[in-house]
Amino acid sequence: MMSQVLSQTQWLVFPLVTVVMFTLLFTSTLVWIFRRGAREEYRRRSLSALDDGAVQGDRHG
Amino acid sequence: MTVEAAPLADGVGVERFRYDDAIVRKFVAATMFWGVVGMLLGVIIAFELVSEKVGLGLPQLAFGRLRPLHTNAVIFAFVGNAIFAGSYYATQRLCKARLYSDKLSAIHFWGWQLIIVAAAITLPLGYTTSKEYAELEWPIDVAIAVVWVIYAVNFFGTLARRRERHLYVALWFFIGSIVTVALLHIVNSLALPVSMFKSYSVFAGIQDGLVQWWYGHNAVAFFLTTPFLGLMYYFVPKAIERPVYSYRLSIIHFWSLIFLYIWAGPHHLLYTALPNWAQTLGMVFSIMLLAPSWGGMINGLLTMRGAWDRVRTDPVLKFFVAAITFYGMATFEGPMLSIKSVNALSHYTNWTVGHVHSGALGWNGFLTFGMLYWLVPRLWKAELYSTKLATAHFWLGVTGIGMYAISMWISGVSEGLMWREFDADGRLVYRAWTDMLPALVPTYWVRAIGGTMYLIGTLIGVYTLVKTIRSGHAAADTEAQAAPMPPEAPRTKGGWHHFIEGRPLRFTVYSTIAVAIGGAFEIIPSLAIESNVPTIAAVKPYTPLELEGRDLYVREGCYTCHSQMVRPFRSETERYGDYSKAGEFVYDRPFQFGSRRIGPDLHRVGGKYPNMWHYNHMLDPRSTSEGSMMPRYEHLFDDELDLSLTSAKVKAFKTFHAPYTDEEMARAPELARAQAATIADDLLKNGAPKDVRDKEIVALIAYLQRLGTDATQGAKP
Repeated sequence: MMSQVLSQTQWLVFPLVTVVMFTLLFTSTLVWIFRRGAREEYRRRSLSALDDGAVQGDRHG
Repeated sequence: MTVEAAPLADGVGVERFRYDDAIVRKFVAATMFWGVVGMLLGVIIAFELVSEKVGLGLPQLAFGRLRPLHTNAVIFAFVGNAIFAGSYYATQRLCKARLYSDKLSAIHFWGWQLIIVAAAITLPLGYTTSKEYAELEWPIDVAIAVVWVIYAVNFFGTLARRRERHLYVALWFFIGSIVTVALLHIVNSLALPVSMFKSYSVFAGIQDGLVQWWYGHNAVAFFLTTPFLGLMYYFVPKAIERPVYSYRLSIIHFWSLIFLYIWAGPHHLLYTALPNWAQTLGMVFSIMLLAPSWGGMINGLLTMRGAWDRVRTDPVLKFFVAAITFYGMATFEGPMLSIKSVNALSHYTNWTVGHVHSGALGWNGFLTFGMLYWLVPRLWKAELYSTKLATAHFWLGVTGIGMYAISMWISGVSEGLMWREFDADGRLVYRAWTDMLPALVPTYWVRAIGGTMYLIGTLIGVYTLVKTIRSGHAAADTEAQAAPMPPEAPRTKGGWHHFIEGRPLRFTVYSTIAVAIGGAFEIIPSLAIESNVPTIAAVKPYTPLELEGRDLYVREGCYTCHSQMVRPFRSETERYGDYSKAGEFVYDRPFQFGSRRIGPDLHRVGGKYPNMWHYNHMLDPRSTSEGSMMPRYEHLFDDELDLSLTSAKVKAFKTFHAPYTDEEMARAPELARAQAATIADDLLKNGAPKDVRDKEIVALIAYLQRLGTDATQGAKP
C-alpha cells in the first residue's frame, strides 16, 4: 500500500514547487532587508561581533 | 562556572564570568598536530603516484589504504579541530557566556581525538566501508554520532544561557552546520553489521551512490564551508576591528546557501546510471550556488575595506584574504565543473583533485592558519614569535597550492582529452592505459613538490606558533562581564528575521527545514520510484566467493584508483564495453562507482582477461602492463582466505532481499571453496607456480571475473 502510494506520487513536481517557493521567499527577503530606514539597525547588529565583553585588563579575547 | 553580580551605574545588575579558554587551547593544539599528520599523508601518497616503490610494498602503506586516511585526517582531524576551536571561542564571546558544560567540552575533545586515532589504526588495516569521507566502520560511526551530539548539546546549551539576545551571523552558520552534519552522517551511515569491523550499507547500487554523494557533497558544504563561513564572519571583523561589510548580505548569503547546497550532490554522478532527472537537478542547483557563494566571498573581501594596507604587513590578514579568494575561485570552478558538458571531460580526472585541493588547502587551510595566528597570541598572552616566519609560511603555502592546482588542471584536461581521442580511422589513439602515463607523470611530480612546499610552510607555521606559545603562558580563562539577557523584544520591531535571530530554537527549526527539503525531494523519489532502477533479470547476487572477493576489493581501496561506471560515450564503450545500467548494481552494497580513474574503469573487466592474467597482474602489475604505477599485491598470495564470516555475509544480503537459496545460505563457505578450487585448478593448468585455492587472491579473481558480465545477457523492460 505504502510503496504503491510512494511510487505513484508525482515526486518530480516537488523540486519545481520548492524552487518557486524559494524564489518568492528570496525576493521578498531581499526587498525586506533593503527597506528604507533599516541600515542603522543592521549596522548595530553587525557590531556585536566586536564586543566580547572582556573586562579591562583582561582583554586578550 | 564563576558568576558574580555587581550593580552597574544605572542600577541594572552586571554579571562577571570567565570564558573557557582552556578547551579552545586544546583544540588549537590538536589542529596543529593533525594538520601536519594529514598533510604529510597527502605528500606520501602524492609520491606513491610518482613511484609505486614509495609504499615499501607494505599493504598498510598502499595508496588505496592511505588515501582515505589522508582525506579523513585533513577533513575531520585538521579541519574538524579547527572548527571546534574557532566555534567554541566565538560562541562564548557572541553569547557573553561560558560554554554550557566543562565536562561535555572535555568529553567532546577527548572523544574526537579517540575517533581520529581509531581511524588512523583501522583504515591502514583495511577496515573501511569504502564510502568516500565516510569510510569508518560502524562502531566508529556510532562514536562520531555520540560525540557530535555532545558538541550540539554544549553549543545549544551555551545559546540557551546567553546574555546577548541577538544571535550574530556566525552563530547561524554554526547552527546550520551542526544540524545538517548530524542528519547527513546518520543517514549515510545506516548499515547492517555482520561483525565488529564489517557492515553493509542499507542502500544498494545507484541509490547508495545518490545517498553517498548527497552526504559527500554536503560534507564539503556543511563541514568544510558553512562552519568556516561562520569563522570568517567572526574572525575577519575581529582581526581588522571593523564590522562585516553588509549584515543584510549575510542574511541572504546564509539562507540561500544552506537551501541550495543540499541539492547539489548528484553533480558527482553526471552521465552515470543515476536517473537523468536527478542529474539535471544536481546540475541546476550547483550553478545556482554560484550566487550565494560569491555573495559570501564579496562580503568577506569587502569587510577588508579600509584595511588593505595592513595586508602587506599582517600575516593574519594575508591568510584571510587568500582564503576568501580561494573560496571564490573554488566556488566558481565547482559550478562550472557541474555543467554536464564540462563534467563529461573533467569527471574521474585530476581536474577534480585540483579543485578540491584549492578548497581544502586554500580556503580551509589558510582560514585556519589565519585564525591560529590571531588566536594563539591572545590565548597564551604572547607576541607572535616571528612575523617573518609567518610570512614565509604564507608564501610557501601560496606557491605550493599554485603548483598543485595548475599541475592538476593540466593533468586533468590532458587525461580527459586523451581518453576521448580517436584517430582518422575511428580508433582510440591511447588504447592502452599506460600510453597516457608519460604525459601525466611530470604533472604528478609538480603536484608532489607543490604539496611538499605547502607541508614545509605548515611546519614553519607550527614552529612559529609553538615558539609563541612557549614565550607566553596559558593564562587563566578570560574574565568577562555582561548584563543579563534583556527581555524579549516585541515581534514587530525589526521584522521576522530579527525576531528569529533572538530565538535559537526557531532559528534551528527553520534552518533544518531549509536543508531537509532538498534532501527529501531528491532522495525519497530515487528510493520510491521503481522505474528509476529498471530490473535486469539476468543480474544475480554474487556467489559467496565473489562476495568475499568484493570485500577484499573494498579493503584494498581499489575504488580510489578504478571506477566501475562506464559512461554512455563512444570513447568509453569503445574502451571498456557496454555502458553501465542502474539495474546492474542492485546487489552492490556499498556501490563501487569510484570518483577517480588513476587506472582504467573495471565495470566490464569480467571475462576480458584469463584468470592467469589477473594472477600475474596482481603479483606484479608491470608484468602485464608495462609502465603501470599500480602497487604489487603480493600479500594476497600469502594471506589465507578467511571464510568465517561468509555465512553471515550471505545472510545479511538475504536480509536485503537478495534471492539466495536456502542451500546457498547453509553451505556458503563450502560453495566458496568449490569455486576457489575451480579457479585455482585453472591457474595451475596455465602455469601458476603456486596453488592459491585457500589464498585471498582467488576470491579477488572470482569477483573481478564476474564484474559487469550479467547485463550482457539482456535487459527486461
